[in-house]
Amino acid sequence: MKGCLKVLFLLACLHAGRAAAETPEAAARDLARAVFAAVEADPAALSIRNLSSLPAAGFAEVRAAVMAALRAQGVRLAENGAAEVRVTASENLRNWLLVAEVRRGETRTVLMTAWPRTPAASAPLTAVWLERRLVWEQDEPILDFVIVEGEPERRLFVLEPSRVAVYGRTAAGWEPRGSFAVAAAPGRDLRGRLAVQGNAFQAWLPGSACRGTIDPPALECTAGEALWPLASGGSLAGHATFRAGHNAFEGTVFTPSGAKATVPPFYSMALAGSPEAPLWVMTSLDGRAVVYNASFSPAGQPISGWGGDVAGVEASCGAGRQVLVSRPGDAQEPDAVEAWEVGLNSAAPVSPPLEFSGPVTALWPSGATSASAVVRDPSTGRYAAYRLAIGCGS
Amino acid sequence: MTFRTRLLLIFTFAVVVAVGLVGSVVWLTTRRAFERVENQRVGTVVDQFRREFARRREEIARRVERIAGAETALDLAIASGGPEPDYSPYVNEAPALAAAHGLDFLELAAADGSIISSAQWPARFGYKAAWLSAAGEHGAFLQREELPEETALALIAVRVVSAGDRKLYVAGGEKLDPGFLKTLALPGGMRVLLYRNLAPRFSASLLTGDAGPLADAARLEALIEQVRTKHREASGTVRWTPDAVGAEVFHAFPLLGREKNLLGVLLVGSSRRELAELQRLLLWTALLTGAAGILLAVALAGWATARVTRPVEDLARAAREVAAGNWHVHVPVHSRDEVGRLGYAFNRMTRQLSQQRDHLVQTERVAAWRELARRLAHELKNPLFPIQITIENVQRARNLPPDQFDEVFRESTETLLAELANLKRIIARFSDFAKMPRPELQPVNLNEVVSGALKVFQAQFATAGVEPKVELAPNLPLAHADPEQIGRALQNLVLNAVDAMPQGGVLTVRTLTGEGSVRIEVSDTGEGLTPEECDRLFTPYYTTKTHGTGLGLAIVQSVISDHGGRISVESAPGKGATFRIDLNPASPAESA
Amino acid sequence: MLPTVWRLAAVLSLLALTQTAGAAGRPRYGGTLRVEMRATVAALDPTEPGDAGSRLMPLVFDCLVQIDGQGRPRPALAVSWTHDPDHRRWRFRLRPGVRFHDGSVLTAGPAIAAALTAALPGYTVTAAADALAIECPRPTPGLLLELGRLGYIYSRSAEGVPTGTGPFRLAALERGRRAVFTANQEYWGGRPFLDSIEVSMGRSPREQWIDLEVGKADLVELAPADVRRAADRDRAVWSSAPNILLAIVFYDGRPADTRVREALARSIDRAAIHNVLLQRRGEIAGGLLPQWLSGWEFLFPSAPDLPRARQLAAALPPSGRTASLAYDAGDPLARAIAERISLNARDAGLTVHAVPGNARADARLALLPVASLDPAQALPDLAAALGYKNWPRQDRPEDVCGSERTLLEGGRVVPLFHLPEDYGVSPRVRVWQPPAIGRLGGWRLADVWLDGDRQ
Repeated sequence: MKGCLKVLFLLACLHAGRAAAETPEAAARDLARAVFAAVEADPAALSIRNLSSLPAAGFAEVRAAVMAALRAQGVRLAENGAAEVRVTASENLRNWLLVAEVRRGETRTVLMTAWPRTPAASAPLTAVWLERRLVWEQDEPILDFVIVEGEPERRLFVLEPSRVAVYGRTAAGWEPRGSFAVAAAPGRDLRGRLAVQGNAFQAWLPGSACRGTIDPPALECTAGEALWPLASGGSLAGHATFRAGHNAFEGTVFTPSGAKATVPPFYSMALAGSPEAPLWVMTSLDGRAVVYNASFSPAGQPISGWGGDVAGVEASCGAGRQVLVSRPGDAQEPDAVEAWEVGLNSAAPVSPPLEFSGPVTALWPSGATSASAVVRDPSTGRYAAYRLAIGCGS
Repeated sequence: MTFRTRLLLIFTFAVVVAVGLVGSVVWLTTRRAFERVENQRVGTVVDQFRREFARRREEIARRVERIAGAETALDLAIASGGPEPDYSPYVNEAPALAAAHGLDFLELAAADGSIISSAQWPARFGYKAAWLSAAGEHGAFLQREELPEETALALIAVRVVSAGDRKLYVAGGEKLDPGFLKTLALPGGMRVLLYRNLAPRFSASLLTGDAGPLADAARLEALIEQVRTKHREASGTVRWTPDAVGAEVFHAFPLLGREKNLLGVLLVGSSRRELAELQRLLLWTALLTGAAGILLAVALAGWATARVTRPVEDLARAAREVAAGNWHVHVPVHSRDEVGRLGYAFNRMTRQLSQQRDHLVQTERVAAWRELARRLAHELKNPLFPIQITIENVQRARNLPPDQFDEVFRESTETLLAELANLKRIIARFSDFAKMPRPELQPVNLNEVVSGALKVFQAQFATAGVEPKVELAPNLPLAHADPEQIGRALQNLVLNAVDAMPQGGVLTVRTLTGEGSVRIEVSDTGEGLTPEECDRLFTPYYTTKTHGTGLGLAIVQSVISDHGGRISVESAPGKGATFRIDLNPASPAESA
Repeated sequence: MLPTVWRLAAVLSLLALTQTAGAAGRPRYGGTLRVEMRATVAALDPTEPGDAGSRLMPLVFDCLVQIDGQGRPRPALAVSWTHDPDHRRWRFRLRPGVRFHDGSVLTAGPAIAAALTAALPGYTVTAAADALAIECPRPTPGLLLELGRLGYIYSRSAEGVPTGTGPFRLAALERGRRAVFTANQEYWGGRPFLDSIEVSMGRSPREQWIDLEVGKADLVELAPADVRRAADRDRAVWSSAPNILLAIVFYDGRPADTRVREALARSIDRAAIHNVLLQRRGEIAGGLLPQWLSGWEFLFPSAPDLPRARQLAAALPPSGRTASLAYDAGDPLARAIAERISLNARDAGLTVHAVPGNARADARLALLPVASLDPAQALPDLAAALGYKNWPRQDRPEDVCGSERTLLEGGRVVPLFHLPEDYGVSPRVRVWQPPAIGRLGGWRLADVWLDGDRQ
């Protein structure tokens, strides 16, 4: 049509004959090569925008990579260039994309490069009453994890539904050292416990209990409903049977002294009160937390408003025993963990909530003043393992 | 035309004229009265309609006022501020509010006229209704409203909701459509039509009634055009059908918009059907009553004329019977008026005439008997005298020698026989007259009859010195007659003519076509007859001759009479006489 | 000694949390989930899914792989798989010990091979021991996505009824009215939290909303306008990704002058419709594939160009400036959008009649589901829905993008929006492993549990 700009739309095939780029830098280099070919020797006016979910810092890195690649390729950049290059950072389900639209005269060329989406950068640490530290992130569910400080290296044991993965700490980060296949009874809300001592480790899963060693690598699993350890504040509070195919403990509890008590089924427990007059705080299936005395008789009022997961810690302040509590709510919502002190007739939070972007899917005590928390990010579906520490004072 | 008919017609005419005059005057007066009442009714209803229309405007304004005063409007007014207000939560407010308040149209618009929510066109959010700022908060006014598939007319009221410096326009109303027209209460026989003035020229599709588009809307074009051009009320009558029942009177009002622009024409129609049917009923009642009256009057007139003319007719019939010879007729007399007296006089006249005729007949009969006796005596005396002489001779010759006696006896017996034969003949002729047979009628050529009859007399003509002269008409029609009897009658007439010319003369026989008859004329050049002789000529046994029975012309008249014909004589003394026989012609079928 | 502020906070927290008593972080087993939907399903057969059936299918049937919320394949009935470098030959190892609902054991037999062959015509599927081998007609790196979408594994009973291995058994199906699913106690992925699911079909949006409000339903479909209402009433809303393309689809050869199509396409103010009628649900679309799926949707313009639209309309003869647009008569939102498009077109000088139902029109307002998480497959599927049979499949993103542009330049379709499928959820419904609604709208209700019902 007369007077109308004739736009010739071309799509450049950047990846012909070779694999896609693996990093943004490589993608930027590929793009720069294609842009150079499209603008030929003309100066180009460049604009770069972000339509992806890359955070500002991530986009700044990409932008810098693109600019550097273009300069390295010899593309002449000018404000009023004969060619117009607009680069857009975009994304789809599986890749980050760099899309360049090159206008040169009546010709419009679209160039595209991609690199796979990788785990997001570590979240910054926050230190308040409760402190958290991101230890590990992965796509597979994490049921429990343990960090062992030792020689020759720090090791991270991650319990997954189908394996125990072992990682070693290097300067570049955690690197795999091996894995041991385990098998849990099918379940939707799988839970598991992991304990490591020296070279040996133990894993409890619904319907299965395993024992293994790192060196030599060995693992032995026993099917059946095993007794799981009930820990609180770095000490063993007792044992209980975890019901296979479900997500809660049976109501039978064995104390270290060998006593046996029967209570309603519960999700998790923590010890509160004092060592002299311990209180068992158990989150029951009706959404309330029930407080029992040492003889497992109900004591005090049930506590409402807690999530299903609690972990007992022993900070040396206040009553000396705290219960870390997750928040009730939907598993799509952001979650939080806060510390409560529970008495016979009282229950009060003693820390501001420690917010997470997703639900806490596992919360186990990992020491006197620490706990392990696993959080699922609803936007990515990935699982993040956090080490929680409780401290006194500011 | 009979007197009776004439009289009846006169009566009928008089009655029809009288009924027609009275009926017309009553009809015109009634019609004018009805129309006056009808016009008053229509005027009242139109006034009512105007008040109803005004009431609806106020009602719409009140509803919009209520919406503007509601919490929702205030919330929306408050929300309408800010640099980039978000109206999306309110997009469905107008339809809900309009439904709740029974409005067809409702638009909520921001201070700049941007439509936040529209009930009539939900898709129009975000568009600007610039007219809102100029509308003002008055009563409902007429407004042209754009809709997705049409342009409609609506009664719209506008209110402004203020929240500080923020404003919200609330513009709501009702659509002027068939549904709206239906809600206007009107008495029976009336209807409202709406013309939406949405096109530069008249368009029939823009005219709707309360049941939708109007068929044959073009008939209202002239009236609508009148309002369109003058912007004033007008009225007119539209005939939907050729008869008066289909007539409808329309009052058309201009519907002006906010800026006095003509947006529509409202037509209030009053059907003339009821009036026309009433008038038709009256007309028919009058016509039927008139017709019945006329019929009754005609019947009465017939009865009266019959009553008046019956004596006259009786008299006429009696007169005809008298003329036909029945003098004993008697007319009944029922009254003593002029007609009664006339009947009485008639009856007396016929009675007297009858008596006079009986007397005359009796006289005539005596005269005839005398004439018969005289003639009979005369006829019989003639042969009796020789008989008497002969007998006396014989008596005297008794003394003569036998030879002579024988001679005398022979001569005497011959004479006696001759005279006796003469007597016998005379008696036979009288007998023949008495025994005249009925004619055997058939188509007859009279020329041939004439020729045949004259042949017999050729010798006699010569002896008597009569010169026969025959004038036969060519192409003479056939006569309806018995040829033998007509021939004998003709011979009688010829014989009479020869007898009338003892010194000789000219006998003329001619045939000719008469007036509806076939005629034979026999003329002689004898001494002729006096008028008295002419009158008595056909009387039996009357004769002017010294010999003869006097039955000849009587027989002729009898024959002609039996044929249904007529015989007449024309004569004057010294100028001969002419006898004319008129016979009926044969019918064409018989002639064929 | 606790600070006074924390004591106060403790009291307040207790008060606040007592009001939501019953809520809990850990899921509980039991209860019946009551679901309502507008569509009707006559039968649940993987070979005849239909739009509504495809939602219910994951309840009863499993695939070899599952596609998670991020579009990643996860082991399902197959625990592992390998392929050659060319992505032509694939080998899947089946999960041991899985049983169909009728009790039979899942093995790599001819029945499974037949099921997959029916789902993937043109592919060769062979079964051997505990493994399945699939040979593709061409390099198919996206095979896992296709298997996760279409490759339902089932066996047929003697009566021909398909039986699955999924988390729920189909307990009752009243054709087009109601379906009841019960938990599969032996499910390989763990028994579902719910005891059963009751699905009521043929429910109007209004009925669904009322039932949700009065507590007669737990999960109902929501129109965009209802999403805001649900949020206002503190109702949770579950949504799929914007996976349904709302577009104007022109019928073949109508209108005759393609300038009408272009003028109409350029006259539409999508932003106004998106902000108001769609209440900002979904995304404005210039392309056929949504941005989240392709990453290049922004390349296709979606802003109105009224001057150009007017220019195009003015060049048309007056009689040619009209078109008709049909919309679903039972969908008030579709009507509102069609009328808005008609209004936009009027601004450009076009007369577009919005007509309800299936009246013979020049174009229709169509909802076209994006059926695959693989753009390479989703585009030919959309092309097929538009009437382009055998639209060539491209595998490289650039080629898919070019193919999409070619499809758009055909002028048969004007993309308007990508809409999500929204569901209103009653307060007692929880989900342990979100999302319960897949990106493409499939229902993953095995991880849903009910708060307030006891095991």
